[in-house]
Amino acid sequence: MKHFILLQAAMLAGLLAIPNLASAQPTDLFACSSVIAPPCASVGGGAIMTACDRLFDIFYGRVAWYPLRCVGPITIAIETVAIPTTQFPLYVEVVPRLEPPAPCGNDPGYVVFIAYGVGHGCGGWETSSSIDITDLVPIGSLYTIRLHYFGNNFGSSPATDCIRVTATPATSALVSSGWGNVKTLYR
Amino acid sequence: MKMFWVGILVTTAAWGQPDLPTELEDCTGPSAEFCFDGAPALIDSGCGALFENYQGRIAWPPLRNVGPVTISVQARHTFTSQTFFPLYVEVQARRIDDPPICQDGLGGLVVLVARGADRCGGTWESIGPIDLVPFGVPLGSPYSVQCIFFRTTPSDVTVRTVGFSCIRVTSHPSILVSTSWGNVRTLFK
Repeated sequence: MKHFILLQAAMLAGLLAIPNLASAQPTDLFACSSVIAPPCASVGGGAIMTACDRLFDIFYGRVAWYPLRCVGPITIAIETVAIPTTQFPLYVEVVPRLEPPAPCGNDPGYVVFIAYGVGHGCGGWETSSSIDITDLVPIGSLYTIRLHYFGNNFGSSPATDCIRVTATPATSALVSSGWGNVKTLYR
Repeated sequence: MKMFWVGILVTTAAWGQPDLPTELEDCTGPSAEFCFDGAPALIDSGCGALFENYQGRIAWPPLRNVGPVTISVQARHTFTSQTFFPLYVEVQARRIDDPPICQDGLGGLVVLVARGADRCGGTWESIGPIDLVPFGVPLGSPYSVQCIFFRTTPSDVTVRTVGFSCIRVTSHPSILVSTSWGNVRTLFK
């Protein structure tokens, strides 16, 4: 009996830990590859120094930042620079987290933004419009932001440094909708 | 004696993995040899060719680099399927001790960007003969070929990569042999 109670307590703790684990994840992201290497990167293609003495990295393949928690629409901004050998775009994908998650966010993703590189010598920010990802990632669920770079000996996707993902919580809409529902229910 | 060691070196470098194929011909369908990240979607099946779109990467088991190759893909664009993203074809060096199986989780270097054609049967697009050594694949070493697909969010206006039907990798070792022999003659004149 004692064991049964202990087992039940352990299961309850486990159940409580799952939502807590998700809610503990950040909803926004700000990271610079020149400062901290991305948690997952296929191949590094070197770095370039911009006209403003900033280091931007060239990657080949996938770079993933994760996990983030979906709380509503997001805006993605990436600091890029285009150089004469910039021949390919940079695809930005949202990857809903599956169970069990593939290593390095290698699950199938969806393109939400494409960056082509800012042509000034100093580079600049390329910013998406507000992207509603809630049809891909339910609110409260986890996802990965994945950048897909291309390259070869003759050209590459734009060089990048910082990325910023800003979430607009849908909480206020949820609350008003919920309150409306309550009023409707108890009329 | 010098010639003997050069001979051994060339032989070991070029023919290190004799069990791997040097060429590839494969098409979508039940007997396809490639592995993939995400499930396929049908783009078109007219004119005897099955064009599919994948989500992420598809890759083939490793080949052995024995000289320049020509890589061709049959690709189909359709306005109705919104296939506005090109198909990126890449090669990726593999380690000698990698198992000779399909592996789709690797980064690669672009060799061909195919845009397809909006007609029944699509079109074949090719690159080559190209030397894979500058792409990080030494002579005699294994490498993989992979294709990259993209898809936007699932909605009425989902934009996809062009449909893919077939791939062909043709090796041209004769180009290499004549070049090498020329080099050898130059070296030992």
